Amino acid sequence: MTKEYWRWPGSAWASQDADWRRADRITAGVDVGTTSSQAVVLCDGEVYAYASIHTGADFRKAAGAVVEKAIDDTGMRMADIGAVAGTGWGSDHITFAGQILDEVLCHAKGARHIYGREVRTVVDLGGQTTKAILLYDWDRVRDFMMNDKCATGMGRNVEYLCGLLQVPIEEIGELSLSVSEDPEPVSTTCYAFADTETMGLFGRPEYRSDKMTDNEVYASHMFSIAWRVLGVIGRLQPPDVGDVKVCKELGFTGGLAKNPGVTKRIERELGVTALAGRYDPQLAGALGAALLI
Amino acid sequence: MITAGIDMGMEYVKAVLLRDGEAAGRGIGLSGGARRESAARAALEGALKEAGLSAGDIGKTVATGKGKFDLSFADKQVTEAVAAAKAAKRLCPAATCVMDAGCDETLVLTLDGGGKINEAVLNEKCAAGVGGFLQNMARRLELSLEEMSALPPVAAGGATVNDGCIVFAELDMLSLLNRNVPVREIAAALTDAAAVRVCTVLNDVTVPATDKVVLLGGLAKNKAFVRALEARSGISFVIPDHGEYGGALGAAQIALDT
Repeated sequence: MTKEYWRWPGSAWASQDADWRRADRITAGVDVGTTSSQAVVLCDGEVYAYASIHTGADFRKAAGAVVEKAIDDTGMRMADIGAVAGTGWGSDHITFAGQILDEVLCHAKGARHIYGREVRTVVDLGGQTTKAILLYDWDRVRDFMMNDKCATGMGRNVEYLCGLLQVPIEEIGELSLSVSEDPEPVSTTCYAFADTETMGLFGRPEYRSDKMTDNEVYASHMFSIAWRVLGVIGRLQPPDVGDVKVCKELGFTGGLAKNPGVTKRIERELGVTALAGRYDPQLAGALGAALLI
Repeated sequence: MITAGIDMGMEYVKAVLLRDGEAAGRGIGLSGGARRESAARAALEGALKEAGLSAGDIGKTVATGKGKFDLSFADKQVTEAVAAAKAAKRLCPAATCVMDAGCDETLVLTLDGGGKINEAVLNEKCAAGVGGFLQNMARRLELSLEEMSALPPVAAGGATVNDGCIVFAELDMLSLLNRNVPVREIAAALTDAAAVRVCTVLNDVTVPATDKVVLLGGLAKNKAFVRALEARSGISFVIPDHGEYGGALGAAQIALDT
């Protein structure tokens, strides 16, 4: 069977030190996204277990499967979880959730937990949606922007591209940074255009005469994605002080947050260095939901 | 004489060998942008094995397809249109029109009686990537390409998705999933939308006779897509066996003729 370069590996983790049986309160957050689904289980407010999987074609099945994967091998059963909150595109299908929460709120809350109290700008880079969120000093959303229709599907586009180019999805970001200078981005308007233009780069005389490398082709595409995300961030209310575009205490969340080819270019264009987080940034939505219930 | 035709497509490289003009072997390799030459070698190896020949037996090699200039060992390159026209004429001598529907490009040609190209039209930007789109949607919906091919037609009043843009279509697909529409019904709607986008290319030419249009390219293997395309265009396509090797066959024929 041919290798599926686009398929990122799922993950699961459970604390070896903590004992859930001693916990007073167990809560779980489930984020069923368009592309990936996450579950985070908290014991007395501390992260005890989590999992991340491909959503697949059945939102309901994904919701159950991701929780099962998180608590697998811990001895915990679904019934042991006191309260479950759901969020995400497919949240209507999380039938076992007691509460469905808004995605922006969950990501803001989750990002605060991952990046600490100082985080002010949260940029969620999801499979379909890109959200830029501005927070107050306290846990409240001051402003948020979502991509318009044409800038949708950034995460999914990277999956598609990796399948086409046969480059492992975990590596394309890093590879795209191994260039001396960023080439011009391919279409910054639409990823359907960008795909065709990227494949077209392989036919250019520069590429055929080895003046352009594979990594520069990847760079060109990653830059176009970063550019579309910058368009969303740029529509956020600017901060009150200083001549800056965004509050520089910035944290990325979502699956694409793990692609440095996109995040580093956004940081460069904004002149900021993103905060380093305590947990996998893809967990933010589920983590926020678990914290809010 | 043994001639080879190699079609350097965006997703797959296809190779065809002709022995004195008779089809002797076919081979395919996964291409993926940068690695087209190694894919071409794999495809050619497959074809040589089927034909019971070795690389030294090949008298002439002609390359076509998006990556035709990437192939260092080709004697000559021909454009996709010329290769498709040649293949169509060989597979169906009465052909007056050819459609080549692949991963990224859709090409429509009209031919005169002698097989010369009258008109050649390529898809506009928004109708690019139709083959790749359907494959991507199949992955997302966890359907195999065989299952995609066996989909039922779109029912009257059934689910539909945007037929102008793949980005919008994917969002519509996700909305339908949220509404618990069965996966196969959604996939059928996506297939129909792909057919509509491909039709925009057909609409740009005057099809001389609706019963002599040859369909080549990977999408010709998708039965559900072909049915949707026939319903949307009113054309009854001539679908030769191994249509995805059309470009390579045309190139091999050109290697023989010139």
